[in-house]
Amino acid sequence: MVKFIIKRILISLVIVFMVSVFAFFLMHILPGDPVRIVLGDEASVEDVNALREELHLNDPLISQYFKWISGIFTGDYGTSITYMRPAGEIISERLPKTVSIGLPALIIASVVGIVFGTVSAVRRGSKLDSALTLLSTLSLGTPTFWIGILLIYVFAVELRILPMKGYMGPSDGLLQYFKYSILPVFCLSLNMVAGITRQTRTNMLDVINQDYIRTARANGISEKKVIFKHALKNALIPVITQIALQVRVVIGGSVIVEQIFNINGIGMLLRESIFNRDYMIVQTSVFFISLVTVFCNLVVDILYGFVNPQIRKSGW
Amino acid sequence: MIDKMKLKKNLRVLFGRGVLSVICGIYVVLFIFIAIFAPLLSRYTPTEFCGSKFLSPCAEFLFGTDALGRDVFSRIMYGARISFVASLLSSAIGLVMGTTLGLIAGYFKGFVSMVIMRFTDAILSIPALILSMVLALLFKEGGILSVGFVIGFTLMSSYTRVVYGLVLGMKENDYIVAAKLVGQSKTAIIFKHFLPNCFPSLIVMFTMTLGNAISLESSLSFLGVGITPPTPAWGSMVSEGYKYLVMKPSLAILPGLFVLLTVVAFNVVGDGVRDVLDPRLKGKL
Repeated sequence: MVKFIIKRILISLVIVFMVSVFAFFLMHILPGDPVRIVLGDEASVEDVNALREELHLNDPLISQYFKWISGIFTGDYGTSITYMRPAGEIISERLPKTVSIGLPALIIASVVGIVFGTVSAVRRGSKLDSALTLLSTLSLGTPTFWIGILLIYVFAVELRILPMKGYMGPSDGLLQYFKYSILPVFCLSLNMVAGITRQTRTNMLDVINQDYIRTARANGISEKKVIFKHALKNALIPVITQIALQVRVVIGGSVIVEQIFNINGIGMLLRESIFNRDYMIVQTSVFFISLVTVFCNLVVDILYGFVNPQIRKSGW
Repeated sequence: MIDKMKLKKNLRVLFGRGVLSVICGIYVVLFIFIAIFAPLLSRYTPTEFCGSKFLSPCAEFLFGTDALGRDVFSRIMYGARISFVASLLSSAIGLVMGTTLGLIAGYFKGFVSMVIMRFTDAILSIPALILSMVLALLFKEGGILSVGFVIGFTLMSSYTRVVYGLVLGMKENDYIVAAKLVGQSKTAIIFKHFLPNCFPSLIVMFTMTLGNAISLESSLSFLGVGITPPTPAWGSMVSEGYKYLVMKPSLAILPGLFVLLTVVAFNVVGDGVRDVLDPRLKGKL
């Protein structure tokens, strides 16, 4: 078991290393000079070169890579070219806004998804099951950008009960926060609901058909108890990992949601940084997003390794 | 009595699912028809300025005209073509690249397989939208080919993972061992045995990624890194129309509605294909 855990950790480190190399070199082979973008077309060649020198952009790529990656370990994430300030500072300024939208979205999607999935599995084949399946198919297919715009039209333009766009955090008063964030939270959670519903439904169906559930029923335990105490508990383990992996979806979705609702969070930062070739911000953000995903996968693998010894034999 | 109830219930399930599948199937056929015959179906070319701006729907302009006085109906017809070609192309690129990598990683043990599979994990840990936004900037112009490649590359890793799993499962089978003993070459084993056995799952995956690709393409076009305007892509039509939301909401709502319908239809048809061809994959893809 210890050997297995060490192996999984090493594998995760390899993946993280590959992400860092991939993100770094992909950003650097993009056509377009970030310094030129920041200084504008009128800037003289000397000015551009001076700034490139200052930011170490004229160094060989390999040494730039090592400078960046060693900075990650010491908490120095480099300088943002667009803002001329430490990238870490800018990211941590923007992060709370994305979290204040993303976290409620994740929680709502999880609760709704688990409820929908459980109901649909327990009432398998019923009208309710078909309706919920249809609902999750619809929510999976709904383009985030479209539903956002539609909701703005209905609630802000026609009914005038919610603001069109903008951002108010929890510190600006709970009512304001609620008014400004309800639409973005809904849009962001929509695609996630579908994934979690499907996962819960599949797992619940797997578990319900197993012998120990039949035994529990045969022993005369009430249906409620069978579902909540025995089935759901076991079905939820893979669902929780699915939820943890949604962090990636939240960040991806926030690029679109923040664009529509004009929220100055990580999503908007990433979009403008990709356009401005702001290497440090894009590389560092992508690195940390992947780190979260890889870490979640690692935890899942180790948990599964505990449950199923067969998995421990898997190769590299 | 019980049998009668059972039969009724089964029929209801079948019917309930059937109606949706049939509607979606018809929609997909219609969509492909429109994509192919867009020039015959629309009265104007998608970039032609053909009248006053912001016209309301009428007999000549079924969906009205946009901010530049272009016929929205024609643009949506041509947009179907862009969506269809982009999704077909990107799914095909993802399929070919992903399958190749999966076959190689599955057949060869050790370092090669490790590098390919960890690279696949690495790609999958980056949000698809962010990965494709960065990839899109590799190209100067957002044409159908570059967008196809960008989305294809993003979709590639899920193919690699599935094919790799399938090959690992097949490796221990007697007929593979026999083929090796008879002295068949590596390429023969890969192309004659592994690849054909992956086909059912690959067809399923291909139909299931089509909807996904349409949704990614429209998101990229919405964010301004997909198909470059004035070529009519549904995503960029939504983002252009968003500016005039208060004045003429249909400009943004209508093209997006078609994205929704098309993605849902492709997903439902994909689910159906999966249930018929490879029921084991249910819930996994």
